[in-house]
Amino acid sequence: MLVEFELIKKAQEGDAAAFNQVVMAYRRKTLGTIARLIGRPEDVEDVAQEVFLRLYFSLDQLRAPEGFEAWLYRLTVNAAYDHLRKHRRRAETRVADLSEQQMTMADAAASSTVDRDENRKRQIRETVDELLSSVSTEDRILLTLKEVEGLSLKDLEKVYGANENALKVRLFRARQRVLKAFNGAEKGIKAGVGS
Amino acid sequence: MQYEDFSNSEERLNQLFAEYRQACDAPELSAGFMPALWQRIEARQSTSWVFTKISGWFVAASAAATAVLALALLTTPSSPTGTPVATYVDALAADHLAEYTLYTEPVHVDTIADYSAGGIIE
Repeated sequence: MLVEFELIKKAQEGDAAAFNQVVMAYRRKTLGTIARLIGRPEDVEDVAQEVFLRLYFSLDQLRAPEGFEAWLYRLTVNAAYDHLRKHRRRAETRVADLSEQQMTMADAAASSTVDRDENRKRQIRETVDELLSSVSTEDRILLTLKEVEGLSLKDLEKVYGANENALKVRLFRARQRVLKAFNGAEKGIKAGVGS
Repeated sequence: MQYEDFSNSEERLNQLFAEYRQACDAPELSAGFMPALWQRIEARQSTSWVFTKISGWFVAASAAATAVLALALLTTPSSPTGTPVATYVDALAADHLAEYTLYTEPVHVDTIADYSAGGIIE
């Protein structure tokens, strides 16, 4: 826990200063999770606001302060899920324009080391975003929490309130689909280089 | 051989996920984050306040309408004939009387003499 139980209790009672402290304590962790879940840095702050807004209005429903972190994770996952669903169509359009974007990025890559580093990061984000679009939004989030966030099955069980075996099966299937898309993408790149 | 390829792609995918983790750094909060958050909280609070007010008015209005209807029912006579039925037993009795009238005796019974007088029986 990043804060004392007492602080959470105070925030539950409507203490604005305590709520501010809770937000400040968890902001970095929450922003990081959101960044990895949605893969779009420009939207992270907006989703984070939605998470803390939902936290403020649902804090009174939290029975035990010990469950706060799992509760916050659940709120983060839900907000990221809503955001991804809302922007899925936009993302699909973006994938269609990817080759043009990559061309532009390649031209810009020569400009400076910082730009090159930033471009590479963006390229990785877009590649993973494209791969994860081969699974449903629910599976995308689950897979990201496991593979990127590094959450254990026990942690996921707490966040989702679901059976460990059911999560295992779902994770396995989602990973297999992403792996298939990954292999397909690699073959496509090799064919493109060979021709 | 194919298995080896599969395991390699598994490893490469793991590597890609690790790189993705590094590529998605947590951005720093902008200075306006907390004020904007509190603005959104207050905006939602005021919206919910308006809804609470409106629902309060609806509750009061429906309570008043119920009272008016109840009063109207109490003041209006419940029986259309003007003879109010006091109890369930009275209602049954009244109904029984009405039923009983269906089996009233005929006012006049024709006899054979009547028929013969009318020329039916010769």
